[in-house]
Amino acid sequence: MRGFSSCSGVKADRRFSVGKKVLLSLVFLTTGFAHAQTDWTVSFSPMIEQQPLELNQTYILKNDTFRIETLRFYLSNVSFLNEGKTVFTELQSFHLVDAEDSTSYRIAFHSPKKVVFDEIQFNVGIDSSTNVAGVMGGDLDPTKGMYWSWQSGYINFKLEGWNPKSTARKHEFQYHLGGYMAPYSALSTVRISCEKAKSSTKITVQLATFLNQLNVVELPTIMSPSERAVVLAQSIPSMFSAK
Amino acid sequence: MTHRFSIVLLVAIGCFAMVKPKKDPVVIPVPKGWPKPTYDFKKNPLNEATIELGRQLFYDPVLSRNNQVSCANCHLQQTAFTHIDHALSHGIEDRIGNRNSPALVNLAWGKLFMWDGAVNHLDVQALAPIENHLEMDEKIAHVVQKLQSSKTYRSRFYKAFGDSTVTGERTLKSISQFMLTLVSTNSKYDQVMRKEKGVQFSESEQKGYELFKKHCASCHTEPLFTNGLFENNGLVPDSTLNDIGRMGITHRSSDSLKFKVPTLRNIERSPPYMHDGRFRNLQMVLFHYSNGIHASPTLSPQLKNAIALNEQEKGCVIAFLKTLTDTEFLMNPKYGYPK
Repeated sequence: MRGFSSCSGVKADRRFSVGKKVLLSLVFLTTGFAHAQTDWTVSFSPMIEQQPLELNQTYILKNDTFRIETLRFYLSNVSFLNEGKTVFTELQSFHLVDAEDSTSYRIAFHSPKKVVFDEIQFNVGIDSSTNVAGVMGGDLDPTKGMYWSWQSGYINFKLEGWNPKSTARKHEFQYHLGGYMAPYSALSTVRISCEKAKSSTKITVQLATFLNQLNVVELPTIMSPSERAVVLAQSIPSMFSAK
Repeated sequence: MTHRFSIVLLVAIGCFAMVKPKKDPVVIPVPKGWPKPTYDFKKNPLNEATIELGRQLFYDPVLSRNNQVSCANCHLQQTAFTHIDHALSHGIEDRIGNRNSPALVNLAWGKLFMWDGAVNHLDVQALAPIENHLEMDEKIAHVVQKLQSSKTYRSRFYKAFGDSTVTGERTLKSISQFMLTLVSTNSKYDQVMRKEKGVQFSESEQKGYELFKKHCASCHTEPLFTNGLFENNGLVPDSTLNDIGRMGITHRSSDSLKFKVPTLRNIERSPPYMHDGRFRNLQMVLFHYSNGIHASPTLSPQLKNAIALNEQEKGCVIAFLKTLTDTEFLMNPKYGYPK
């Protein structure tokens, strides 16, 4: 889950002897080396062609003018691969990425072992077993605006905004893609290559790829699991790339 | 010595801060011969403080947008936790809903909730009425804000969870805890089945029970009096509602006009009947099964031939159904409005 809170410990007593400090540092260093632990981050940059996404800003893309008011999606089951083999799988791996909260763009990982990877794999959305497991907390709390109340299930990917061509009220568009039951499962899996041996990996989320798929005249809103949601969700993996 | 003392003090303060309110665990007993509950109690272990918080929430209109509608508006204890006298239940600002509110009982054994099974887990059930614009028309995030700003609720959450933070998860799990305690196992039927001393069916109840087992029990299976499945019981579709039932959720035409088989426990106390409350009394329900079955492709096979019952037999079935009334459950102060 996002938001690992570091434990606020009791302030160390200043009168520790120098000897004790050296000893402690040695213990830390040795255990550090013995386990060769790895800390790394993956960050996401939503882009519209060459420009970073700013909410409520007007963009022109091909012949379309639009604004994005909401972009929110779940990343789950994040794993890292090296030469085709999985080398690290995050446990309890659920992250809400929300354009209203830039801290959600960056996810930190930690392993007590040495981890080297050249590919990242994750789901965009929430798997079916989590969808039927009842209410959850943290990023999965139903207060996050990513849970359908009238029909149980998470929204995997939410994009809302404005386009003068939209036939919906106030020329808005709303795409709430989700659904975990066959035949309308809208979960998509992303597997992308990245540069090896980096402690931070940047992933571009190219929204233009998704926006170009939309037809705001004929279908300005999707708010429930459906075939059209499934078709649109299929274009999600192609939005992601690592430099 | 000073620094040692200060460390001891800090540790002591730390320990004190970690002391959580004592929780009295609660276990829902499974009556002999009953199936295992569907609900996974390990993920939400019941305790008195959380059940009490859930009860407060159940009876508190704070869950609605205008702070006027509580769960109990449509789920009254004395009427089997349902809304009687209204075919379609009404919610906030007298808005009329699309269906008849279901009775709440033995929910730990439920798998899918709502007439169409739209809700897949008891913990997320309360979200549906809270956010439905015809029922409470509120947002769960706003409910959490309202509760967090209430000193009384902060203290109740503290008692239940060990800290006063209100979250959607905690709010819903508390409501679940209260609902899970709504167990009805002490009707006359139950007492007869347990062979309790001095309790037996009358002649007509016994005859009704035999007829029930023959004609009704394939769907209204004992001891829960529902098989938990979705069936088309041959109701003529109501053109003012055009409710396709389960198909609205699964999008499968084979689920068209199917609705969840309701439990019959406390059925005498929960008129009107059917998903749209079209039948005012049990006589009308039995007339439907004997004379009113509407044929359609998804009709339950058991109903292809109408249930042939004469008037006297129907009277016996109704007499039996009345033995499913559990007065202790309907009057239990533990389930009632919190003091």
